Amino acid sequence: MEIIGEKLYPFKLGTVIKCNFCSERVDAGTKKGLAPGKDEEATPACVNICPVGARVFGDLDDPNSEINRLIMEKKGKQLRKEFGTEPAVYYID
Amino acid sequence: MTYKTDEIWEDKWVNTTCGVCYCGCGAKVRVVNGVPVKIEGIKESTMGGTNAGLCGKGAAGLMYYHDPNRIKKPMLRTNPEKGIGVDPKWKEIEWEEAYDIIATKMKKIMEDDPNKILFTNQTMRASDGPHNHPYFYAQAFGVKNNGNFIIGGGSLHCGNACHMLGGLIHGAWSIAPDWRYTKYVLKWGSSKGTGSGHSAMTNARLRADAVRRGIKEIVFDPMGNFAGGKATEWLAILPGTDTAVGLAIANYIVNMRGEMDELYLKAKTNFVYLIKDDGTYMRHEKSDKPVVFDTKAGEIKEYDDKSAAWEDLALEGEYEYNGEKVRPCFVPFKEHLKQYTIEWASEVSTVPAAKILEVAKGWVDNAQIGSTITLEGKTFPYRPVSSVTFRGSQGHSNGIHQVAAIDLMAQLVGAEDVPGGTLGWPAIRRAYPGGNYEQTCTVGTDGVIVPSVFYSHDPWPVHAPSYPATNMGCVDVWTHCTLSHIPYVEEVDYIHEKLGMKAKPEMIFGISANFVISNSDWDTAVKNFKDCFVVQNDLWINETDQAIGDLILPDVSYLEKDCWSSEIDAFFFSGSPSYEDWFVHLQKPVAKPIGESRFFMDVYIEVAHRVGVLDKFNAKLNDYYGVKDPELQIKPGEKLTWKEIGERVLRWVYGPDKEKIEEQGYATWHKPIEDVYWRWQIDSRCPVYMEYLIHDRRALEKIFEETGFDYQKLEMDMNQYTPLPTWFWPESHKDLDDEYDLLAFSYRDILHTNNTTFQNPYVDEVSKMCPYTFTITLNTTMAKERGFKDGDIICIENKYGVKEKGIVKTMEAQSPKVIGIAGQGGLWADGRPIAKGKGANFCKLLPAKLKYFDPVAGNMETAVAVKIYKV
Repeated sequence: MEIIGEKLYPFKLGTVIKCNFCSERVDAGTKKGLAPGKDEEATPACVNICPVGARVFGDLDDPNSEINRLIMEKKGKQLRKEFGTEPAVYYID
Repeated sequence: MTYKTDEIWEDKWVNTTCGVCYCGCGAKVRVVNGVPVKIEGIKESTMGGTNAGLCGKGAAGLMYYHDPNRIKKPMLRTNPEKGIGVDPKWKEIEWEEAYDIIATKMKKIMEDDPNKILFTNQTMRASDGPHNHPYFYAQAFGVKNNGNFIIGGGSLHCGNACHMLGGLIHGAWSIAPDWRYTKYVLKWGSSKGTGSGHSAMTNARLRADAVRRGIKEIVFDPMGNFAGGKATEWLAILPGTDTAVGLAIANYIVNMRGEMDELYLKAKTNFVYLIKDDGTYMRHEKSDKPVVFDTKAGEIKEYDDKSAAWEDLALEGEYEYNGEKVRPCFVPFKEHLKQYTIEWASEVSTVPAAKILEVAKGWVDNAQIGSTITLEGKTFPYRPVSSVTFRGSQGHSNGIHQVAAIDLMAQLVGAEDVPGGTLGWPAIRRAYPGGNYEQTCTVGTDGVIVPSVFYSHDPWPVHAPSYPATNMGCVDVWTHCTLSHIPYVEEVDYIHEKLGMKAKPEMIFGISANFVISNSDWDTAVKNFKDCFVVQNDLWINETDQAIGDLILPDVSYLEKDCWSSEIDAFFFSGSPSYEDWFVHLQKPVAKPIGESRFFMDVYIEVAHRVGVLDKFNAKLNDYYGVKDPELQIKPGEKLTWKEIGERVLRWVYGPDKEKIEEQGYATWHKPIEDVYWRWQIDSRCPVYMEYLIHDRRALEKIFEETGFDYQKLEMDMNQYTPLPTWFWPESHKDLDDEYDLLAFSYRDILHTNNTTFQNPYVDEVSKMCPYTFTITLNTTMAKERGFKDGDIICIENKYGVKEKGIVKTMEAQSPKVIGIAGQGGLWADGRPIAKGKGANFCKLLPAKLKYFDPVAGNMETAVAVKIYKV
């Protein structure tokens, strides 16, 4: 497993990295035809494991997805969206 | 993902029970080539968080197995000098020699008086080992009740007052809101649903769903972190003043608003019992049962006389029985409450009066008195309000009144063990289909419930105080203690001498308790226990072992343990408190024991065998599980391992499904909804008017007079033995003055299980990222006014000159009159190098004098007046 880890994250100690929503996991899952946010194998590990279900993952490009419904319904907020980076993380109450 | 290579001959998942705290969530462990490599929750189980989520501690539990600092052989002290800072000069010895030493010493003591042996237990170890068995193991030695137990971990900071009333009111160990149906929750010094407390992740999951549903949750706490930070509203309160707010809300309900669940009060409490002028019950001339007044018939009857309808029982008025004036105890109660105005409560607690009023209104408005709900085809009263507390509010010298006041508001609106209200852990455990072990509470004297299982002596019927004391804890005298405070107090010698406890402790035997540093003043603990021969089963050499331990035996962690009993008997303690189906998990050995470590239950059996009390222990096991099948009973002269005992007990408990359950690692079966919402199914009454305390007071005063025990000199406040929930200033507040002007308190950091997890490198790494775990928190404005800033090293000093250093972290969400310290840092054991030097220790600041303990329930005053200054 360490070998796999080194392949995925070929960094030295101290390297700054950013969350990529377990892209390799989501990619592998979607290749199998699984749905992100519905099937665990196509969903980031933190979403699967959160013991209070605080995180929701899904396809923002799909207007009918659960995630878009929640963002609309709960008035999801993006942080610093004025910088034009189109943050893909929304916060809901 | 699974990777199969030539080097991997085994890759499997094993279902077991998490053992990192006492909650017992279902856990599955991935084992590769015999090595545990990953831990996750068990999806199907109700024992855990959303989607089977374990908490961070649970996921980090692997390090219990992988920690190279664990002891691998029995360790014997060679330096006779004991104390903090003294090198014990450990020597590794063989198990045979260790057993020999223990058995020789024990046999000698047993010839004299078994009460010279103290037993240790650990709150942390609950899920991590059999729960109740260490207690009746002690009984096999001839020790009665729980008087010879000392504990570490949550120690006496934990729930003596909560358990006492949990037992009396709910027939259970503790309480939680009915998250599924509640609408309005008050939490008082409790993190139920936000990461700690009993069934932590089960409650967290249920609470998260409730929050998404839109409940209101109001948290009274000195700081707004785990519970307060996530609540609808956090109200800063001074430690130990919850009683004041609770009584003011009760006064609002009874005397201002006048809206109560009268039928509940008449049917389910003792408020209708008639009392004499001296406050004690008027009892029926023939049956000796308490009596009530039937307004319809116009006559006095026994409380359980079925000819009187509940609604006709009098809550008010004055009557006559055999020429003596009597009145329902609700009358003085109602009058008593009038003194507790909202303005007064605000002054005492620092909670704004307008807020107290708002909460009181919210409470009654949401209680929906009179409404019902139909679930699974059965109709129950529906009271969607819940008021819960645990360690924070009850850990005070007025603890019993704190808990009584917080419970009182739920009583007044009938929100106890009904949908939406406060639930005890199910008081009833039906047998597994086809199995035999069933636990149901019974109704005892005066209509009060008797819990089916309890760790200590049953809270009901109350044992009348008596002397001479027959055990170290003097629970003959302090009869309400779940675990006694007496062994820890500074005046222990005086107490033993006066109360006739002749035996002095000579030996301590038990399980990894850290009782020297996790209770109160360290020096007193060392003084009280250093002359004993201390034997502990432990994973590491902890602070207590290093200071006073003589022989430390290497124990297995939960990952190496075959503990079939881990949850069977803990339904009332760490099952799911809700309507969800039963899930009872076994603890499976997923790896081989490290070094020469041995499961402490097998060590216990070997020691009992050598001392000659094994038959007694086995008989207690037969009795405990109610094993009737002669094939399955342990016979006299039989010496079985814990696993072999399990083979028989599991067959008895699960019948033909035993193999299936062992294979899957858990049992699950339906929990009938009326077993959860049992309040109106069982004909019992809550002793809200604590009449028994009047009798206790009389008995104690007589004992003290006869023995010359000067309780006044020791400042033991006998006034707390009063039947009405009453306001008493906590001892810490009495110590406040111009110099010692802050109240220090501690809180449970959800990252940690007492101090055990300080040694876990994963948890340690996360703790370093948390701004609060290893620091001392001060309110931002207060810190600025006093010239403190983040990162300053300060000294905290109590009135007795005890000091502790720590690093300042300011936070807005904290009362300006308090300082907060997380858990139990400030550790120094060489055997736990990761824990060593982390955080600050709060416990040492707590004075160990008798007056700092609740005179009724024995829990400790866990706030302390201090001054702080820069180092």
